[in-house]
Amino acid sequence: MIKKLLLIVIPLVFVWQCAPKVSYVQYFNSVVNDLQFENYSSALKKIDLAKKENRYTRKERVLYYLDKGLVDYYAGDYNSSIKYLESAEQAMEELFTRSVSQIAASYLLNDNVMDYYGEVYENLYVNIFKALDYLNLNKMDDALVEAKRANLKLQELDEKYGKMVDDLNSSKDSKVKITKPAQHFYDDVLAHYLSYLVYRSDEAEDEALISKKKLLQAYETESDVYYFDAPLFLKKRMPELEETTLDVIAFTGSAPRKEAVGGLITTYDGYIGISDLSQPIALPNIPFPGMKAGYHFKFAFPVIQRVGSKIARINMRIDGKDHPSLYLLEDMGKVAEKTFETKRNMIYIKTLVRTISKGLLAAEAKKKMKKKTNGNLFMNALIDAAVDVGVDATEKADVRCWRTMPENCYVGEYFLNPGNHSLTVQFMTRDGLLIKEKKVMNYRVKKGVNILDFVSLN
Amino acid sequence: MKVHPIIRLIPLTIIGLLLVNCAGPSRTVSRIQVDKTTDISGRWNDTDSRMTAQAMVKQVLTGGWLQTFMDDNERKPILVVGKIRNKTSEHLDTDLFVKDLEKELINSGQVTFVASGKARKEVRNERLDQQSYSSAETAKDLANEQAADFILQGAIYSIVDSFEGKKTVLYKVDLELVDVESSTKVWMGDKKIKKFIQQDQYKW
Repeated sequence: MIKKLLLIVIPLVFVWQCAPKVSYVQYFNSVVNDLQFENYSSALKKIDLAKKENRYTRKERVLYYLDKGLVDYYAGDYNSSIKYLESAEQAMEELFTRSVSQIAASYLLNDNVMDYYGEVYENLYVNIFKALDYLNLNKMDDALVEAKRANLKLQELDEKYGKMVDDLNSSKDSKVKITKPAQHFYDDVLAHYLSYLVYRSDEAEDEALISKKKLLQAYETESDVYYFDAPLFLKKRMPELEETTLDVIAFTGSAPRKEAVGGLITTYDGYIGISDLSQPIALPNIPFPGMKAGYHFKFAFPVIQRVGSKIARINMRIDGKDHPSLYLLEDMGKVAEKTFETKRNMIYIKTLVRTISKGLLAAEAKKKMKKKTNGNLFMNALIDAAVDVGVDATEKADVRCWRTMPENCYVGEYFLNPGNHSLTVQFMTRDGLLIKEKKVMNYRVKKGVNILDFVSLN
Repeated sequence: MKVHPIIRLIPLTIIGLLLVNCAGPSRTVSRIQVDKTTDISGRWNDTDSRMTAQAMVKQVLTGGWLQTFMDDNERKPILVVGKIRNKTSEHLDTDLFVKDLEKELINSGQVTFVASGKARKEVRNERLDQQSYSSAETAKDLANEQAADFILQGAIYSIVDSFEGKKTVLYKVDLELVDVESSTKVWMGDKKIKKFIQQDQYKW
């Protein structure tokens, strides 16, 4: 009896050792809070402390590099940002090679035992922020490299996830089939917009026009992600080479995050039913050949949740005069939702299969162990509690994600004369309340394209 | 519902798997010849830069323009290497490639070579310093530089095709030699390198 209990308890010890700490989410809320108050040095210290305290384990190294790199970008330390974001991208590339042992463990325990290899949108925005770092360092060729890589990735990742779903469906063990949602997200407007700016800076008019055309096309072909109008200035003529513009990019809000949706599986003859979901998601009964009625198992899977932004408008004043507000270019949260959809069904079905397998195994183990207690009620209760706690403890949704990312990207283009200008950017709520005001006095506008970025993560 | 005996091995399997996962990577270092071909990540590397520079300089020096210039001017042409643009989807150190080109051109002995860009500025500053701090006999004359007859310019492009851990990258290096006086292109050439990169989908 003790041996059997040990067989359950020992793996749990290892699971708790390797699982991300429960306080991970709470801890990073305080980092996000620092970012909203633009206390970047404090956020960086907390990220480093988290690394020291093993809140980012080796399995979460991608997240550490992403967080560190992005906060460095917010803080204006572009070289350091490039270093960490480059490390993040390299780690994501390396993790394309999946560990068989981790995959097997994830089918038995949960996805937290696997190295975090980054979501599609994280893999995309790592290049976007690197491009912005290079733009700030005036390294145009390098900025363009990053914008190109972002678009190459979108095509590649779509094919990759499609194949993963096909593989899972063709598996002999798969009792339930997954529908493959078409990603239809091949063009990222923000990546094209950065290319457009870089080409214009480089006086490569033809290439700039092509990027602009692709960008506008994406608003039509991906209307569910780009559910708003394209910025008006992009619909107009492209500035001439001899004209001087100030191109403003602003990031607002907090990235969407993953949250665990808990629920209950009830088994019936030949199918399973899902109930008691902690979030109102409509899930149909699922045919499950060979299933017997009468079991109840708890499960949890991750969903993407929008955090929202208080900022609804960004006003621009140049030399004391009002200019048109910035336009929403990309709802990055929507991109996250859309790209996560490709993977969501796969995670959902994997979670169900794993929960049911573990639940059945536990039920059988309980039955066997109880036979040897000679009806001792205390021992039976102990067995029930130990096995249930053990099974529930291993079933945890993988809610790891890039929490320091912004939610929206706004842009504006202003024709100016070369020379010094004073700029005021006002971040406003829907009701017209001023949340944040940023002033840049005597900004030197040179002939041609001038790119300036602002951040307010409220 | 009967549980298969293999399922009973699950707890021990989990321990084994987790122990494997917790094992850290190891690193070894060994010294190799600097000109040895090394392909690790599949990205553009020193070997690509060196081999492309050698091939392209060979091309440029066998072009008809060289003999024509020497027949017309009875001297070797003076060359400068201009900017080589990176138009790929990788961060390439084009300065390294420019250095490889310069090295191959100088070592060929068929052209005279003038320093380019930053190096020229440094030399000019040194010459200016000499006017103030060196003896009149040894200080070098101002405005006595040899002007370049031709400038070598170009760009590196890449086309990537990838799926399921398999990737082909075609690098195309385009170079052109431009007559500085007339702005006419006297030679154009290219060199292509194609790589196939495969990454395992699974490891233990």
